[in-house]
Amino acid sequence: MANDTVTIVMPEVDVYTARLTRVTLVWVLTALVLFPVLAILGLLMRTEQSGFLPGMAPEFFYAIMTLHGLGMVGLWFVAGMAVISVLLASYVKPTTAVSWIAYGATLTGVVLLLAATLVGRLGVGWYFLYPLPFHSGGTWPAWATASLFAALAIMGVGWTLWSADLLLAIARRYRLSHALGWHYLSGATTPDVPPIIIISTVSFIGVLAGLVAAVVILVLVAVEQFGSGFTNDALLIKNLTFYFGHMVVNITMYFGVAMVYEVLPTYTGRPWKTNSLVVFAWNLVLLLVMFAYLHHLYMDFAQPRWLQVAGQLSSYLISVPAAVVTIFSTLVLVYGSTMRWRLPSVMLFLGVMGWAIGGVAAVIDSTVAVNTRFHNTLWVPAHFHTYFLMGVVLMILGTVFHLVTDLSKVPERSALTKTIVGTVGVGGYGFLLMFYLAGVAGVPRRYAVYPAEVAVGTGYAQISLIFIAVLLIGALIYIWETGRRCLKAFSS
Amino acid sequence: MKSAAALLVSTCVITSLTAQSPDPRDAPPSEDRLLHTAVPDIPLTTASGARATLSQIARGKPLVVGFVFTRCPGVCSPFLMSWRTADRALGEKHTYVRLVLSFDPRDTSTDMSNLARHQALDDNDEWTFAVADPKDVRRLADATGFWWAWDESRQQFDHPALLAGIRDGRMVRIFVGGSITTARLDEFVREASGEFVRSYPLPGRVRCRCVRDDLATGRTTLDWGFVLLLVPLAATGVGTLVMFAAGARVRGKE
Repeated sequence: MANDTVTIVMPEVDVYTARLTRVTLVWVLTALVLFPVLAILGLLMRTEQSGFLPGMAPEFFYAIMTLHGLGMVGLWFVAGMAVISVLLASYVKPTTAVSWIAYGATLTGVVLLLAATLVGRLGVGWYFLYPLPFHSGGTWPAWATASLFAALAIMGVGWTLWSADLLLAIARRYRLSHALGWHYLSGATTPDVPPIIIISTVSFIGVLAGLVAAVVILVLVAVEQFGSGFTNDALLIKNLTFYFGHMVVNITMYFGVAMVYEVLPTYTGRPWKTNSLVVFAWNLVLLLVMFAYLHHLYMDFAQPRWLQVAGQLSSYLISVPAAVVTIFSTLVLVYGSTMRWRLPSVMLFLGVMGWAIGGVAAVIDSTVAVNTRFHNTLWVPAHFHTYFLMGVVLMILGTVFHLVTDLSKVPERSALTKTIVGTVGVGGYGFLLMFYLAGVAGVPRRYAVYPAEVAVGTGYAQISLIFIAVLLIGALIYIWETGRRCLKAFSS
Repeated sequence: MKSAAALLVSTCVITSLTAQSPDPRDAPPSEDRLLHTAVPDIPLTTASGARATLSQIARGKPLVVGFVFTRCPGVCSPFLMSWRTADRALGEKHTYVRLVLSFDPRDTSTDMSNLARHQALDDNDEWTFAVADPKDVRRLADATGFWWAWDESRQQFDHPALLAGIRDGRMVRIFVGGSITTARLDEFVREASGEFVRSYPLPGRVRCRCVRDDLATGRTTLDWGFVLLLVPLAATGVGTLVMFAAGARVRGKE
């Protein structure tokens, strides 16, 4: 009788992998829904700057600018975290429950942000720089500010738990010195630590530092709001705000780079092994990323000069280990290989190149002498859209397509790949070029409507609409192709 | 459910219909909402009877406008005297145009001429006293954040003491307050002239400063608030060590 009943015992790792894959797919599907919505908000902003929406109140422009900025930064951070966690699962074991908690916290935060911006018309920008949220001039109500800080607090708790869990997962397998690859510096090659572990360790430490800065901001603001006679130092809060904000954006990029290190070798047929150069580079990044944010405070006369010098030096130096080593290594990896140019590999490669282009523009802007001219022009959104949209977003989207194609077994269609790459490439860089040209012409950023003195900005905004439309077509085709693979993978 | 929704909607409608527009007297004019807005180039009649527009009076220089009325038994005279005293203390330091404009429709060129004489400014070419059409004064006041309201009980106008700084036809600064010190006027005119002027928070109210910026020497020194900037680094460093120590215990058990 015993032979009649066959009990299948699934290995624990498979159940675990299935759970992790499921939560990752939920993150991915959410990102695929939110991405075009947030992109359309960007389109609306450029349409108003084009002069085609005379009925749209400038206050609404700033509300959607806030939602677009905070939304995009948050969206790609959580998408990066989700994809990294599933890639890390090949080596370590993150907790799926924590990912769900982070998901719940993020959704709650998104609802609060939607209420604050679309209903409350909160227009503080993604950096919500103190004391602006508390001085609306009657443009938004106090509850909208409270809603923003509640959203940040809830998402902050979720993301802190998530980052700590992923770092703890690494800690359960590797010693800190191994996780940071220090043994490679002394010539040892064992234990073998893949680059994604080193980059992730650096990234999660950075994320936690940024989130602690956010906690300090929230505490200081809460003390001011609920205490008596306490007024915060605007310069201190600005330092903390950009410590947090710049860190989150920077680390999101490093998530993308970690994906390149992990996934691109699949297509080149060459392994991307850790070596002393990679280890040195990423450990240097861990040090420099703590100070790179200082370039956001060049305009603050009270900031000590030595901090301004530190800001310029760290901004210059950080581009060497993170970007140059990665970009050079990517070219070496691809050159002369039997590269399979599929959608993921093309997107990863273009993402690295977009990072390089945006990085050069960023380094130019981080030069104090240039920054005094460029800082409040459209050059700034130009450079951060370059390394974000055409950099890390392409890296994440490429990796997502790689994962869902692998899970769904739906083959890639060459014609669609070419269409997506062509439209995203032409649309994306055309859209960015209009930002750059307007920046060089001195068109200010954060203007809902351009006055006569900078009317040239209206023309650039109008041309950019064509490119945004092309970009959106490519993005929607990608979302359709990825979404159906995602759903198939989810159902199976 | 439907009746509850109807009640909510009707409450919102009634609330919005009965809501009073905010009284400008409740708070000083908000400079933030005025900066860089265009100022209407209104026609004026000077104390000498000459006709000129605002831009003709400015002659391409920074323009500082003060609003007064000659029958004012309150702030106007001390305000004007304070401005004049601070201006004299600055000497020849700045080149800017001073315009004293009446917002009272009863005031005439002669009234403004008398006011100029009373302030011993009638022979001073750098000062212009003028009146304008009430509608034009209202347009200029709206653009500069100035307001006035007739107080029936006291039979006079209620209004703030306000200076508006204008450069190239756009608002640059406003100053609100009856007493103008030399230092504040110096800052005001420098900013109206396009110069970058450091601004400082009110002393004694800000806690946890990260640096102290000495106005006299221009030196910046670190303050206790700077320690808070090190919290993220320190907390993460300790947290990372704790996590990897916990991880080592797990590896030890396995």
